[in-house]
Amino acid sequence: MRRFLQTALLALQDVLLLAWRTFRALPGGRGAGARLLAQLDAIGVRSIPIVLLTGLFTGMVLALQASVQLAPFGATLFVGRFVAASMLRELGPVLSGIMVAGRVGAGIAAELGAMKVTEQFDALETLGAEPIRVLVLPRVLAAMMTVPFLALIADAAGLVGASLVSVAYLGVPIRTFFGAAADQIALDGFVLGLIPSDLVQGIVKPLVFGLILALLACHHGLRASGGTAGVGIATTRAVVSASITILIADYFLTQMLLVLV
Amino acid sequence: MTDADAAVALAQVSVTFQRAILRGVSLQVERGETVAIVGESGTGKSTLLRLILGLQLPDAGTVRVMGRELQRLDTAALRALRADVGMVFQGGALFDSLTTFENVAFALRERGDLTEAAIRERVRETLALVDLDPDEVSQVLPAQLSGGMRKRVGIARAVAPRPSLLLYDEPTAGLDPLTSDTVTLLMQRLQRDLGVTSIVVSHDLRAMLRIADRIALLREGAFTFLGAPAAMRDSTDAYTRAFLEAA
Repeated sequence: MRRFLQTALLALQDVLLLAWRTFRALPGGRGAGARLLAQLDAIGVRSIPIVLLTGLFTGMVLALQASVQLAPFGATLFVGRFVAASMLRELGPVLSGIMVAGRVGAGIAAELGAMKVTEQFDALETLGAEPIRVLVLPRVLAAMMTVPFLALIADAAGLVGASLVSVAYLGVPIRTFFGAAADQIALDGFVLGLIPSDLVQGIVKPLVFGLILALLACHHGLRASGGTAGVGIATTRAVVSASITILIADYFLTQMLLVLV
Repeated sequence: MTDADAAVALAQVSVTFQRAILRGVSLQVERGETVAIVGESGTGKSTLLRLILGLQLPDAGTVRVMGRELQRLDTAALRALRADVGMVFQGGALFDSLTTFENVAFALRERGDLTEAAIRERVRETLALVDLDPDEVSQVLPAQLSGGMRKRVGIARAVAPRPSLLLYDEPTAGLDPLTSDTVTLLMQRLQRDLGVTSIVVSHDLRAMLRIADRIALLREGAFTFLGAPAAMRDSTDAYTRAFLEAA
């Protein structure tokens, strides 16, 4: 137990140090724009299909489950409220975070791990480039910038999926479905009288999830050793640790945002 | 020659990682000289190169490159010093996602003191210097190159910024005898044409006897022989003789 705690604390220290060195590398120097654009594409644009599918089917399942719970009370008209609250506050951000951690986190850890074991990291150092600035910073920034958008896409896809099920199976008119969803979003109030507080939660959380998944993926990639087997281990650790950390962070973020927003 | 005048000066350098890797090693490399470091696997040859690059610090002793003690340099000063040092990695360490042109241009772009047109010109010139056709290889990814070509691109990348010190880590490892010979001759030609100081870590003693001004034989973390190739051939030390005969 003591050894486990020691290892966990050392890993936490490494990740915090990596975060510090990453943000200290801002604004990123020559070529930073091109590197960021490449990562926005790799992490954000290419994750859209997977997030769309995840959101769509999650919304459809939610509508079916909600109908089972609401039908005995004759309240199937409120399916839109149920799905909107669940998707915007929780499922959109968390599922996007976990799906991107699986797709992108594995990719980042594998790429950086392969670079580490083939001495490309040392090569960067000897060629006058700072690996953190060139490799870690653009990935972390891109993840923080794109995961909130991906969460919004998942939210929208979830609402569309749920509306299809509501119309096709539950006989809820589409206007009623989206009207109920809009009522739910308005019910929780607006930040600065303009931005729905549900949406604020749905953007702040994935911003943090993006930071978590990119930092952990880079951390594990940078610590890869022992050839291709080491890269495989780093990849697995990156996905598992990012997924678990996202779920844990979600609890604390929810507590904090319920007070603040 | 004092340590401050030497291109590289190691003084009583020791490195321990679970076991003693280097034990009180001292070496002075003159400017313009080619020194080969040979020895069995695991004797600390590559560690020596990492120390000279400042990628690793010694547990004891001092490392000076171009008269500057690496342990006293901050990150920025170390990076500036490295701009004058080229490194050829054992496996090439070419950046997989970049083309040959981008790999060779990498350090030049990082330095930022040349225009894009000057960089293009320098890359073409350097690729030609290592016997590669710039038109043929510039847009090719490292994975599409043969082992010998990758080595030459690795050398071109190290040479492109025109460093005064070149470090080679097993430059002929994994190559067939003919390609290995080509790379050895190329190293000899670069040494002559560019007048750089070279430190070559290699298992290939026969090649090193041809191109090195001095040879250092590492055994269990310490030099058991350090001298000219002719002196090595005449050595009566049992281990040196055994190493020569095995080569």
